[in-house]
Amino acid sequence: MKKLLVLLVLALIVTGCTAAPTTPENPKTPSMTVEEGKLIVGMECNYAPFNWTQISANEFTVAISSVDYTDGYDVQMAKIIADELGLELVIKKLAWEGLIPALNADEIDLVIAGMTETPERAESADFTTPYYESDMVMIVRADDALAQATSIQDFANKIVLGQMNTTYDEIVDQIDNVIHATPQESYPRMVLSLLENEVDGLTAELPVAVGVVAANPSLAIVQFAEGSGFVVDTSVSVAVQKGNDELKVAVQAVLDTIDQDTRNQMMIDATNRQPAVE
Amino acid sequence: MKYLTITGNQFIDTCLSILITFWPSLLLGVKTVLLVAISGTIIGLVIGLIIGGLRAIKVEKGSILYIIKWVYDVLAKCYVEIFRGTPMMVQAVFIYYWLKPAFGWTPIVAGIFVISINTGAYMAEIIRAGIQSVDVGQTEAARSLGMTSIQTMMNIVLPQAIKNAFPAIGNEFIVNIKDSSVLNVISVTELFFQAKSIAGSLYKYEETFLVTAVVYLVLTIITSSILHIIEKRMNATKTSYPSSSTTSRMVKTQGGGK
Repeated sequence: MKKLLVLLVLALIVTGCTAAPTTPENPKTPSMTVEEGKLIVGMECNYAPFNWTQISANEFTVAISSVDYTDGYDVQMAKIIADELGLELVIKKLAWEGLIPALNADEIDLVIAGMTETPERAESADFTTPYYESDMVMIVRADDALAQATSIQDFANKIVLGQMNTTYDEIVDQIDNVIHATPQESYPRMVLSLLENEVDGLTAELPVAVGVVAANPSLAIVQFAEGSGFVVDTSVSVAVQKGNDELKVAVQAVLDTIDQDTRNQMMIDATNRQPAVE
Repeated sequence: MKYLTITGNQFIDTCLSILITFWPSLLLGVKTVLLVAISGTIIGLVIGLIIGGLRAIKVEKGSILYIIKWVYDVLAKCYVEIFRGTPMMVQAVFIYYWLKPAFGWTPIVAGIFVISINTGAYMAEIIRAGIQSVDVGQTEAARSLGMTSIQTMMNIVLPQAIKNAFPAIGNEFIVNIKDSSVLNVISVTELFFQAKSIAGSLYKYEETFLVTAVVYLVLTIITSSILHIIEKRMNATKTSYPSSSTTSRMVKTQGGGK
């Protein structure tokens, strides 16, 4: 009886082994994307209003698992790119530090994740021209005198916090005599530090700041006049694998058809849809 | 997102709203945690049994087997030291990206692989300790009955060693439920990764992670209760041997009233 069972199991294994390769295997045709006919885009899905996770589907969302959906400015941009290129859009939720490695490991075709092109990043990936540009602002407690600040130099001797591994953190030192807080990994955690008086200000791009303040009414945005703000590139670009010029040119061509007004309107719409806004 | 008013306390209401709205997302995370923790513990136990079991086998000096055994012991020791001595988070990132070109694996497969070999290192030590806890008289008796050292290990020592080590093995499972959270660095959609998305989408950090902590706690409490029941069953001797020790233990158990 035992032998019979062993034979049965063996037979199953053998048929299982032979059955697998007989399934139609697509001969790998040269394609500009990782998977033929698909555009796989990586993002964090936790960086509203650029990309966020929600539980209900609607006309704007894309499914990222059997139960989660993602929406946001980046998602809408990805949808337009996929539509124009005639590809099926697939969005992969990845950790921030895993985005560029995933690009280079042929896991995703594009990073559309509110990522700014920097010289360091440009060494590991190629970037399109910006698909969104915004202002760099500060978030402060609304009841703090700093809410009336007009120049970044008003933050001298104050504790300012930026997000780890982002331009948000690098620019903090543009404030003379600033107390540069140890950068933190996640933006919501930073908001908590501000609410709990651990720090006096957070650097943020305007659309992110709008979302944060909408969710936390005790906070306020400080905008700076031209010349007294941060000197920084706040634009965000699409990243493609280094050397994949075919895809880069194709994506660039789509981005070029979307004018500034359309982009701004897309961002306002996304900001209004984000879950933090009730 | 619409926040519900249930208790009137804003903090608690936000927590409940997150739970009510995002439960499918959290449940997906729980399923992944269980998949990774269960398969990681089982595969890790198998690795531990093989490595720990072979380490405990004694070979006579002077034979070629002795040299092979010596090399094996060194390698096994290196494996245990390396995987117990480095953080699983570091192992996850390194192994995932390092072997990605060769295996082309998904984060979940890589996650199970990492947690398995990590658990294997701990299990090897647990099994080794379990084997040492078995009275040497058991081995002597088995050998004097003519069993080979492998037969003795498989039929006599290991079953008792596993029973003795069961609480420690169960503990590894609970540790794995919690430690699977570090796999978020390689984007395994486990509970912590899912919670990070919710917190980032809502800008509600404390509330989301309080809910997450409670979910983890529920998981570990249920698991430890199940393990406790299994442990009790293993210890309740159900043999019909009319030996005095069996009887006395049964009497003791009844007398204890537990």
